[in-house]
Amino acid sequence: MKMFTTVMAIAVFCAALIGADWPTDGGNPQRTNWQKDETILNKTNVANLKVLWKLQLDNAPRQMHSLFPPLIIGRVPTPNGVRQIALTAGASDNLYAIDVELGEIIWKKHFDYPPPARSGRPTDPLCPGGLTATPIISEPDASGGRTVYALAGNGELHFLNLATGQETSPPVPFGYPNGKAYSLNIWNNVIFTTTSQGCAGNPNQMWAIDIKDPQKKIMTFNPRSGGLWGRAGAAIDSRGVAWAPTGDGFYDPAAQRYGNGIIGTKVEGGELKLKDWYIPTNWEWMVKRDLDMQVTPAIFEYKGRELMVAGSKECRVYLLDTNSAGGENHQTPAYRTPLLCNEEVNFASAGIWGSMASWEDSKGTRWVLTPFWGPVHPDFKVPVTNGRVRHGAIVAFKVEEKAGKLQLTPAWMSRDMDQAEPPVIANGVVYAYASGENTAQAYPDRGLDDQSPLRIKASTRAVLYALDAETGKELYSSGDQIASFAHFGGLSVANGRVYLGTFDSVLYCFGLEKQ
Amino acid sequence: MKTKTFAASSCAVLLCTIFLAAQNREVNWPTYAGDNQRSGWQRIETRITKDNVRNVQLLWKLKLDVQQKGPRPLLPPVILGRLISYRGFKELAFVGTNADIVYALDADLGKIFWTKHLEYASIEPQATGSSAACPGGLTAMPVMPAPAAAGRGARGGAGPFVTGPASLYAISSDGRIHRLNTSTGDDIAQPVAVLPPNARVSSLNMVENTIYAVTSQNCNDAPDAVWAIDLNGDAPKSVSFPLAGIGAGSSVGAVGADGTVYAASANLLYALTPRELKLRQSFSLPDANAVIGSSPVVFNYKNRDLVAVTGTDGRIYLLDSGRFSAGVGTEGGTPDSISTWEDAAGVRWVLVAISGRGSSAGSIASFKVEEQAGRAVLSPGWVSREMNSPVQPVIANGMVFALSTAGRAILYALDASTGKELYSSRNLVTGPASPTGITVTNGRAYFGGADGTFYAFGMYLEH
Repeated sequence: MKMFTTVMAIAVFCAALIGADWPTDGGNPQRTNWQKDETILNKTNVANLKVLWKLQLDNAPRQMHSLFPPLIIGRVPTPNGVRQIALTAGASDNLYAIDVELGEIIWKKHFDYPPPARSGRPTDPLCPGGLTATPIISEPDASGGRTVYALAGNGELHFLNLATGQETSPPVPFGYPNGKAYSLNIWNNVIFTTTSQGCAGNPNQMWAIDIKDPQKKIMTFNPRSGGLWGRAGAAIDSRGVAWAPTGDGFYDPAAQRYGNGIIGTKVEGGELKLKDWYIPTNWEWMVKRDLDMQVTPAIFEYKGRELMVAGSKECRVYLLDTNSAGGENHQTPAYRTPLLCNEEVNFASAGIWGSMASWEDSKGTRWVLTPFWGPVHPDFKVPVTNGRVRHGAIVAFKVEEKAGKLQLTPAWMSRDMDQAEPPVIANGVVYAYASGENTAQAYPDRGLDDQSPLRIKASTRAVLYALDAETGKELYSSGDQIASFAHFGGLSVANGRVYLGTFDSVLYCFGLEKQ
Repeated sequence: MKTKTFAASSCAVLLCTIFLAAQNREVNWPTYAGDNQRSGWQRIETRITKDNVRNVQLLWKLKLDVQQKGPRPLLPPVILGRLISYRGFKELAFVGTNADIVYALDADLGKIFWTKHLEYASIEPQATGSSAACPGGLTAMPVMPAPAAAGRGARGGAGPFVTGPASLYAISSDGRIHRLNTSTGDDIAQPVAVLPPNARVSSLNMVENTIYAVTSQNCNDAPDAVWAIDLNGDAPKSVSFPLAGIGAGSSVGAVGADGTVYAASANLLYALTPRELKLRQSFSLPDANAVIGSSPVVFNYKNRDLVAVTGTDGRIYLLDSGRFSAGVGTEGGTPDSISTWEDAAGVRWVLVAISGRGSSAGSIASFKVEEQAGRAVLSPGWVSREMNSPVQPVIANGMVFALSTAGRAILYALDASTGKELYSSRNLVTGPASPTGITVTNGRAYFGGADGTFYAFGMYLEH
């Protein structure tokens, strides 16, 4: 009996070790970037992070895009036994399933198709073509099998067996070729994505498809805006409403134009319908200065309410209630922060980019985290700082209710990071990275000249940081261990490992060395 | 061919502007009075309307560095509606001052974007005196190629003054032309002397790659002349057409749709060829004793160019089909500058700023252009409320923006159909204005104060 108990304890321990997943960009449909199940890495040992392996993949970068955030499944039954798999997508229509214990490729899939008739400008970073949407992995079926949903650059949605890479059913149309789709998300068998920048002449809109629908009908909602380019696509609330930022554009509800805000859409009766929206009152200013609402929101519960945080290049954070995102007039947020950064009102190298993050500590405090680029705004005050911020940082807020009103109370600001990217929280540690990407789109001598070759040449290297989630104090830095930069990449954290792909198509796996 | 090219270019500018307005994009005000014809008509204004103009407010004011002498410390701004710069999207107001400084101001925020001091570099000593006739310093409102929004720099041509990035052209008091980078204020090319130093230079007028200017008042022995500065080639080159006896108010050259350059001197209106400035024809006022008192303004009326001027005899004259009309009289003062616009019904209006005389105050007087016996004539319309020494008004979206400059400067908005006052800045400005003009673009009206304070009035845009 004692032996049995010991074996079971070891089994549970092992399961805990490899049982966490990261099946979608941002970790979950709500895009909180919170890895709740991390038990291996903690504040005490994270300083010992090492590069466990790095894998050079044969994915050719397209413009500045290369590898998208890996998806992690802790236990995947494969023909060769149970494996922990990291699935990473490359912009050149590649999928790689990697055995994370060995740092070896289990299978690779390349989506082959005739070159689309239309594509972006040859050196345009905005429209790389190819696969641009981080795939998504389904919940396990009865036998533990999982399906990978991946949107190829020709606009076809593929269904693959995670264990083998085999296509389980024929691909179906879900978008336009080279249409620049963003990370897939799923809710009750409906897959969502968003498109932006009008790449290859394609519309900027929200997309949905019910994978149980035999007709595989494509459902869309077009907010007639500039582009829905929240990097992690749409975030989905508890009612199945998919929320996405709409980028620069005009607000005219009478004309069904919902630019520079956040829209919530839901599938009803076989249609994707607009359910709610929020537009900042200064949207005209934001349009004029190209300060897009372009950050994927994070959705979370707080004292029985479902809240959502979003950001913009203007460099404010908005706190919204998913039941009524902007109040009766759609323009009244629960709370709006002052400017965190971007005093100069720049459109390219400042502001909040990517996605948000949120977690709850053991004391029940709800935290909201945002990355930002550029110098901190001189008027933004934070109680705890970690050095001068000139190139970007992570800011943590506490969600609080005072006098019956919600607010975001600044708690700490991290050290300086060269273009801080969306963080991931796991076991009291915040993982963040400086992308090292050159983000200049215009130059003193010639104005706007956004060319991938120029930016690639001027980019440096990404740096991974681990921070104390309560203070922002630096616990770990990868220093110069990462060789290249990361454009529109992302972190994944599961089972004691932290993953980041870089422009040179190298996937890095950080973790603790086995004793 | 050149005429067709110019006319086509003008149409392209107009179409481009209308397109931008349809997109609710910011538009430019690239030159004095808004266009080559010096109409003072802002065709594309959507933010300020007759219904909301009462909500116009003083958005910001900024004290700029000026010489504390002379009545013209600040020039009206050139507006670049949208610059995608290395420091972000900007709407910029370029303001020249008599201290030989060009400022680029963030028009939304009222902050200085860059400052450029145009160093004096001439073997002739810099004039230090100042008078109403010869104010000294930088006197010419800078100019931008039009439409700057559609391209980089001037169109076609070659050489360091035309190829490369979008730019602003200014002439410093030493007579050198500067080509400034709109993003930084840096000289894109080495400045070149094209005009006599210490002259009173009129606001610049740019057509394709040629900039026109007029020097007047024989300031510091600079000859009175019309100048054409060809920007093509390794260095700009200027040619001139001599004038004599130009009044201070008759110095801003206008360019017709066919490229003809018009300039006034004494009793004569000269029509000159583009670029070479060869005399095509001259026209004298019917009253041999009258002197042309305003800058010529050109406008199209029933498929022909008309030119309007004022005379020191108090009359407004139209040049139609090669000869001046008999003119129509004004009351209450001296007719000064002219603006013109066409309403939605196709009625062509001519507005005249009338300076007060003696105890009578000035005003804005309107006239309708009508045709009688095959000739254009002016028919009196409304007369505004009293104003002190108003400058050339600007018409925008059915309103007339007028600036009373003397005493306490006051900005007015009038109904362009009736002259009814719709807005007054009342006591928001505490001193007189620089009598150099106003600019109205993208929901804002700008002008300079005599003390060097620059003002922006308009509709509030939440930041």
